[in-house]
Amino acid sequence: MKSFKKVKLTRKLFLYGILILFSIIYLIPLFWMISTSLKPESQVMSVPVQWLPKPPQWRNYLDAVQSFPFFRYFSNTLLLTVLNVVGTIFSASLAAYGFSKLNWKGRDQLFYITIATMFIPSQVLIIPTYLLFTKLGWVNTYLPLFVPAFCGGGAFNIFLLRQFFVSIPDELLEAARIDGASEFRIYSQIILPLSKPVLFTVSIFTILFTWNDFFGPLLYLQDPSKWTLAVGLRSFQQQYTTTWSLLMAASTLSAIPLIIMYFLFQKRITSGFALSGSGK
Amino acid sequence: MKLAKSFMVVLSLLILSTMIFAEPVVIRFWHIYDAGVAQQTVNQVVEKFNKTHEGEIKVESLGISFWDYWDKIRVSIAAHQEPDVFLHDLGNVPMRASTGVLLNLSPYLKKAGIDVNETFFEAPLNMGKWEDGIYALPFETDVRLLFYNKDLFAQAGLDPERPPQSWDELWQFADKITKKSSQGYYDILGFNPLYGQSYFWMYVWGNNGSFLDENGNLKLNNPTVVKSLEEWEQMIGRLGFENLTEFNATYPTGLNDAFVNWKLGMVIQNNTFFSQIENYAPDMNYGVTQIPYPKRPASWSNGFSIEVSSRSTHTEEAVEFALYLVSEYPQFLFAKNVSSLVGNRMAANSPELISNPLWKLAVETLEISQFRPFVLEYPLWYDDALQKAVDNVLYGRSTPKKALDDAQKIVDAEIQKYKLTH
Amino acid sequence: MSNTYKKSYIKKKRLKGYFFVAPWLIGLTLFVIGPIIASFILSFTSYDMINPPRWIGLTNYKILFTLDPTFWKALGNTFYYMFGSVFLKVLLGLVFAVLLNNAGKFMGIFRTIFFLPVVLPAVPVMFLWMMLFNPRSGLINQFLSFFGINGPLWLNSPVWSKPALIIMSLWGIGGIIVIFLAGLQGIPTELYEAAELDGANKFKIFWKITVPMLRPIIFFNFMTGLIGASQIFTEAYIMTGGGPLESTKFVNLLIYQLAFKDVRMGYASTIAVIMFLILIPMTLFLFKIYKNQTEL
Repeated sequence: MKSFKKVKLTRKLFLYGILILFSIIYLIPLFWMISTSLKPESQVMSVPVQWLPKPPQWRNYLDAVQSFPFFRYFSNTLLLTVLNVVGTIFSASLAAYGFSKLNWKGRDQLFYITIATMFIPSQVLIIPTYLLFTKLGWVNTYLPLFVPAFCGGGAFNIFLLRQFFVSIPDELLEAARIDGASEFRIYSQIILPLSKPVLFTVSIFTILFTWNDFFGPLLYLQDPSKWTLAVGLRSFQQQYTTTWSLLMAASTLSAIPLIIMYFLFQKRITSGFALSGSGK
Repeated sequence: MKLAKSFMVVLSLLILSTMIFAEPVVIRFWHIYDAGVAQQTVNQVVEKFNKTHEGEIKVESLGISFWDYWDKIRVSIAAHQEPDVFLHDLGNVPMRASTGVLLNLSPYLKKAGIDVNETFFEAPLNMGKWEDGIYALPFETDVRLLFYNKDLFAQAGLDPERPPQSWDELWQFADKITKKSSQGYYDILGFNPLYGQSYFWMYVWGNNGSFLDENGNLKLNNPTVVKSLEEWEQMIGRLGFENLTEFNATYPTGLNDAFVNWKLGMVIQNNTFFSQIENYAPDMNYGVTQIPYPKRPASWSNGFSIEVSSRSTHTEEAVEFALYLVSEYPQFLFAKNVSSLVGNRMAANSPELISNPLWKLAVETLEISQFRPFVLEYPLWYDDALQKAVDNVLYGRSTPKKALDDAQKIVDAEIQKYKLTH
Repeated sequence: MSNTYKKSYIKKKRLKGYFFVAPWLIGLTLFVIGPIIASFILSFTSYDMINPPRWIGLTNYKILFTLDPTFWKALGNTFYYMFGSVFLKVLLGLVFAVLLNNAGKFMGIFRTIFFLPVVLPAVPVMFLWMMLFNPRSGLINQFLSFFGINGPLWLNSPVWSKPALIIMSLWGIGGIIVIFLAGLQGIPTELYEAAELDGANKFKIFWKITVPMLRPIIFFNFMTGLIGASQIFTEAYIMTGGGPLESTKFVNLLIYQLAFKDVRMGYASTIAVIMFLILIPMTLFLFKIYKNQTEL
């Protein structure tokens, strides 16, 4: 029995050892980003490694914000994000309701088509979509970057929401229907409030997607004053050709909102993620 | 009689009033000078034109940042909304001229009595030609020169006032300056043929070679080019290609530039590079000279052109403004304020500018400088096929002869592709 | 209910249904189905956005198959990255998920740490890794030199550039770990206990119980991972520009350059169509396997 316990103990130590080792490895890049952001540029590329700035140069952040319109890009990104979240929640939940709680001809076929579109590689969509937006005169506006969110918000979100709606018992709806409530009322006053967790998940995914979208703004936003953080940072990198300390300062700034969001809603985010990958 | 008289009075009053209240023709002008001295100068130039053409022509000038300009102008041309006069890339004029969107300026130049060969530098002017017409006029251009660090020269025991006079001397001096660290990488390099604005094609020109055959077609595997690539490979192999790549990755441009950080003894750079030296290394004693060459003096240039849209509704006025932009005084002003080379010969040779030795050197170099030849069927031949060949040789994947033969195959394929789809 | 009332009731319901899915129908038509059809049509034309599209039949396809080695290089690069990255991600993700699952009360902390990189903004992360991969001063090579190893040039090497991007993608396995964790927690502990009583060691348990139970999730994530990885663009655009020696020229980068720099919309559409015709059957094939696995 003693040796069994010993084996178990060494096993546990081994396990924790590996986990701790990799945790450190996984945290180092983030540490490096912040450390670099505080270094005077001369210490950034030093050989051998200089782990900590000597001394921390907080004015890098000031310089970064002055030479890089961080707040403008941040508010642009925020605007787009809000628009996308609102549009997606609205149109995806509408569609999900239609696919789950209403019966109509062609419903299931259309739903299968919807699922199928989740697996379509984006290459075939880029060029004609660009041509469409060019024809509409929407290039160099935000329209191409949020109008699609109001048109369904993507098959994936509809899928997630629909699976959730299906699990809501129909009796709740029948009662309301008998009382004469319209479908839209049922949708907005019964279904939506019950779906807060999954709506939250959809919002988080939409936020991450919009915040990180580089290709869309690259293609459609030519006016620098309209840029988002993603393309703005890239332009900053090109202009200041690798003043790494400033670049890392600007990068850290653009990461902070997401990090805050993460620590506030961590459990919800990870469980939402898990749900999305379960493939049910 | 009284009736006829009053009628004439009324008529002449009407004519007079239309002349007074007639709207001036609006000419739209796009360019890349959206900030600083360049923008001020362009605005000054435009204002002067508007003043002298008050009531007749009004130029509306828009400066767009360099990074965004090319997409914007491309989209505007595609949407048939391009400006009347615009700046563009002097290196690829036929690309636009062949689609018919540019106005042939030859007849207008003749009518205005402008001798183009006297007025403009030869190489930039030629880049604006296509078939029998002139579709673009050179506005701004540049050359490459050799900058050298006099302090590093002195440290290495070289005469700081005597830059290398030949290609061999370049390497002799460079070897004296080069220092390797104990870990095996280059701490200081005397010269790096893969750094700054040093490119293989200029070495080919320095060897009195060309990428075109007698008929003006691309021939990348002609004997001089092959020989040049062999020498290039040797030069770089001696220093170690991996070492040079590693060096380049350690000293990207800008603040961390190798020359500016005393890590590179000599560098081939754009003639405006001096402003970066003064900015980042104000204490450095540096010199500038023409790039040493194996057989023939060579440098390379890029430039910006002034072009007029053939779809403009006011071509006469647009051309008048375009010709004004490249005339002596505006070009002189631009050169003086921005310090970059201009296409107008007279302006560039004005005494006030020539008195500056660096400027004088740049102008002299412009006379022997070349542009990369433009090939309509395959505009990116140098970046694509040629660069691939050079890379394959340097990475040890191929030999110069084979790599260039393969490159020529790519060229032929691209030309075929073009013919099939046009 | 009388028949007529029932009929109009059903009709009303149908209309209601359409009303709810209307925004999505618009999106589906305009942004999915329309573009797919348009891409197919464009692939038979030559279109430079200055003059209207010109029909040239199969010429683009002929060019693609006979005169364009770059496309095949891009395709190879894309597959290299797809399978390399996804295989490693799924494998490592599974291993770490199992480790975390056994970490007891510390599981939450480790999960927080591993998942954090997933929520960091993508573009700054790319700049960060450009620094880490710097051949001389980057952390990775400095670390290797500790052990006397002369690190490769990573993003500046035609051989190591794709491995570098794959390594970078592994920083984000937190997402997959979380997914597998949830799946692991769905495995009844009785199975484990029974196996342990039978004297099975950890490896056997892993292969004979854990993996089979997770097979559907593994396959689903493998599939979605492949499709996601096939789209790789921003990394190449920002970090390497497609080089060196075209080693990171991925299909999406090629399409971008062809369509939006060279403005050869017809030819770019041809490549898009070919990718479609490659990836869709692949997806269907994997989906079939996935369905088989779930039915088991």
